[in-house]
Amino acid sequence: MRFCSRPEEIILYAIWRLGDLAYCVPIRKEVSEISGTDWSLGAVYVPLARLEKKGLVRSRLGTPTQKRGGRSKRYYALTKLGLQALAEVRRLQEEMWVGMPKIASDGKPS
Amino acid sequence: MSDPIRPPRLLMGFLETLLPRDWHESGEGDFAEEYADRAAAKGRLAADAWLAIQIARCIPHLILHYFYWAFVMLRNYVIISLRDIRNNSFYALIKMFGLGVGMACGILVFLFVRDELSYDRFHAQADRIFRVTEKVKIPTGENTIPYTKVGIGPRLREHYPEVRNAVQFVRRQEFIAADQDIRVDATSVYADPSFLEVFSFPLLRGDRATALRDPNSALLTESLAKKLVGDDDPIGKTVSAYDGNKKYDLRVAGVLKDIPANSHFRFDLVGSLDHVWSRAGEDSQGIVHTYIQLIRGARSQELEAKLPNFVRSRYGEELAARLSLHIQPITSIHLRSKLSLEMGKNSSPSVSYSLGLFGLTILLVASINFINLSTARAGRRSREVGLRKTIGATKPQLILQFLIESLVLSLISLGIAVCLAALTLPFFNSLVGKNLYLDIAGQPQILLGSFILAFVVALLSGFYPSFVIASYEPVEAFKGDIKKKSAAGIFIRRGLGILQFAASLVFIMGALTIVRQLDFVRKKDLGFRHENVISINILRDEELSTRRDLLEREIKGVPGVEDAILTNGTPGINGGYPIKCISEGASEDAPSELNMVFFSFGYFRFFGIDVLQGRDIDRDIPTDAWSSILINESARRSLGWEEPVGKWLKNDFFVDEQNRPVAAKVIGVVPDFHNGSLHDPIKPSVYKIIPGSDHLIYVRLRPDSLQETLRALAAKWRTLPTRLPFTYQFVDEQITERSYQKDIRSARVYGIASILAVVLACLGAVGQMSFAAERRKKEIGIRKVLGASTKSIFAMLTKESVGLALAANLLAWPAAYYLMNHWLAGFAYRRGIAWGLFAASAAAIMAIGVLTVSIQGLRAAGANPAPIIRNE
Repeated sequence: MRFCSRPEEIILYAIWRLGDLAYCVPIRKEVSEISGTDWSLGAVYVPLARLEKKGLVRSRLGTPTQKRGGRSKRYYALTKLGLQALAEVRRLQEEMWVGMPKIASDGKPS
Repeated sequence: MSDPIRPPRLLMGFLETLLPRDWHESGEGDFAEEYADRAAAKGRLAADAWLAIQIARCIPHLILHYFYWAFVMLRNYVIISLRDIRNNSFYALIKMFGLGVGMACGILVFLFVRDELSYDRFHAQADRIFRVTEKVKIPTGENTIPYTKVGIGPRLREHYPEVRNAVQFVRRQEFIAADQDIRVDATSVYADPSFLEVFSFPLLRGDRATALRDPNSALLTESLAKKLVGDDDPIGKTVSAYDGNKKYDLRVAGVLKDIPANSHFRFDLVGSLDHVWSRAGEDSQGIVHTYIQLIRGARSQELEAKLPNFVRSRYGEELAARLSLHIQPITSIHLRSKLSLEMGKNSSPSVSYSLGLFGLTILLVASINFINLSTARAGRRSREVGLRKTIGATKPQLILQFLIESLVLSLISLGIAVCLAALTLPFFNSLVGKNLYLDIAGQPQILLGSFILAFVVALLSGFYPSFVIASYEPVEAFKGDIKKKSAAGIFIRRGLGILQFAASLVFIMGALTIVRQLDFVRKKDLGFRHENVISINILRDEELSTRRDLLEREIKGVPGVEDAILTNGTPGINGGYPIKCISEGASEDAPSELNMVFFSFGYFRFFGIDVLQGRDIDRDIPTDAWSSILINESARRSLGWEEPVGKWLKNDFFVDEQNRPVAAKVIGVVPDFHNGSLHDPIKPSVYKIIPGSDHLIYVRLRPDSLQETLRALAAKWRTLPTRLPFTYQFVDEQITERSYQKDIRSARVYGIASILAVVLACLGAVGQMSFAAERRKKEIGIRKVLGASTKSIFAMLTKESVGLALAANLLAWPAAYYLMNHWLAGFAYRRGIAWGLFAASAAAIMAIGVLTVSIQGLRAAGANPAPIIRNE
């Protein structure tokens, strides 16, 4: 199974959370909140395009709005493959940490 | 909500150029949306600032994005290339083999040229080291020698601040021994202590600053040390140098690394100049090699211009009139210096040029193969190209794709080339007389150079085919087989094919002509008897050369020896020296230009040359030794003398025992024979003896017992009062080696180039034919059904190849004629260009060409038409 990069993982998660409302602007807000850093639009776009090419998400164009100067939004949704990938990410994460104690700030188990 | 605030057009326009097309709509929309929100919340200025920063932050991501896609495309192209190679392995192999051979040639030539250019550059600041040469006026003109009088070096250093350092040394060929038993023949250099300062010969052991201070110290090279004392430590040991029969002891003070091959002079031992002057009979007023080192920024031309004054002020007006000093950069010696008495055999740029030209031609032939095969088979890719264009590929993209394919092929060929070059390197080394090695790890330039080569070849060979393939339009591609619309394409292909064959032809004709000339040279009657004669050089044992009677008697006594003589001439090799003589009966202002050849008593008799008029020189006639000369027929004619016996000639070289000039009397006339190589015409010559200069023993052996006689001679030699080992050489071989080395090499190189070119051209022809046959499968099938015989089909297929080969002749004959004429001009005696030979080469290459294509042609012609037509 080809692993996704971390940013890709986070974006997949964000798309899943946002459901129908997932387009670039809210996705950006969501991942910035989760990770605690501010992501630029490019930092969201590029992995998104890669995910689409890999077949993990699909997109569709929505209706144009005034606010966007007459341009439409592009909505993203997870494909079946994308859902699987996300599930795999979760499984991997839990697998890694099962039974492990928390790590204290000095590196020792607490 | 009221009208949303629009982001500034400038920034958005800039954004649009950055984003990929697909993202324009949604991407700009996202920016616009966020901009509107921010502008509403914090005001326009804040929003503008945010937008600008945001765009800036996107740039690195976009760059990475584009790289990523480029990488994916590239990977895709490479996969397609490899798949194409696998599917069409036959043609791909032909292309790769050809390019591999061509690039291997390129690599070898590169190594050669790089070595040639590297001579003497290993010295620190090699650009500032110069050799001092003397130009002297001699009776025939001027002569420049790489020697100077003693003392010039140090005086230059004293007198001119721009001369930082100077060194002088002499070279000797001596026997060196550590103990009585092991005596090694070695080249010794005796130099000032500054030798190690000016030159950067690495010292493995010993102290560079003090090693040569002691006059009795010596430095040995690693190899010499090993030969003398094996693995023991040589430092502090005593070695002896045998000069003639005298022995001189030296103390080993250091060990040098072996002198690299790319030094214009090499040696095994370094001693002190003072030591050599202290040897009995050594002339400390003699001549030495002088080298100087200039300071940074000094200009050699400026210094050279000051030298005439130097000579005048130190040595007087008279000497300055006869002699001038010049300096030459050490780095130019190997390639450009052609002085008499050079220390080693120097090369010339023309060798590099011709090798380079050959390599390039082979590479060209291979590239032509590549181009032809690729364009011929272009039609097969037409559907793929059509499809790609339909889904949006642009022509430049397609060209890039096919160029990448060429590149992949080229890089694989490079791998083959490197292996080929490594394998054939020993052979190449023996061909050009060097010791090159492929040291990729140590010298990354080779790797870099090879990659650049592969790139360039891929680009040049691949561009045209890529262009052709990428030009296919979808509609015609899907309609069916591409009609070859471009007559230009066919013309180019045919033209290139002709070029290939022509190149091969020129090489073959060249090789055959050279071989023929060499054969002529070997068989030509040189005018003197040189069969079954060996020569033994005893120059190193001066005492032995005074024992003429002993030598001749003892050697003649050996069974199997027909005749023996101690003499000094080397007929067939040394053509003599040009001199100007004043002849009897002619005015002093019109001296004749003659050729002076040294010989000795018994010389003409031994070599079977009969004296035509007068008599040979006689040992019993005392005046003969210094004032009698013989001339040859050509000289007699050019002097205009019917009865030359008794007439005299005057020249500075004709002196008596007390060095007073004499008028030398002609006592006899000999027929013209070849003193020198057949490169030169027989010159009008004067034969003069120099008593006491005989150092060559010639022995004529009975032809039926050569080996036994040689063994007997070796045994007899051991009984003679000399320490020299018994080494001999057959005069025939000697003549061939010394006079015709370069020509033999040329023959070999041409021969190899021919083989390579022919192989490649034939390969190309096979490929073409094979493809043509396949393409015309249907046509052949129909013809056969209609009743055409296999033979007629075969003729139809091979007709084109034969035509090409014939056309190639038109190009090749003039080129070969020009080239060979030029080369043959170097020989005064030659056979004319053999047109028969040219015709034979042409026939041969046509036969080869036809043979190789006929195999494919036969197969195609004999194919069963049924399945082919059925598939329609």
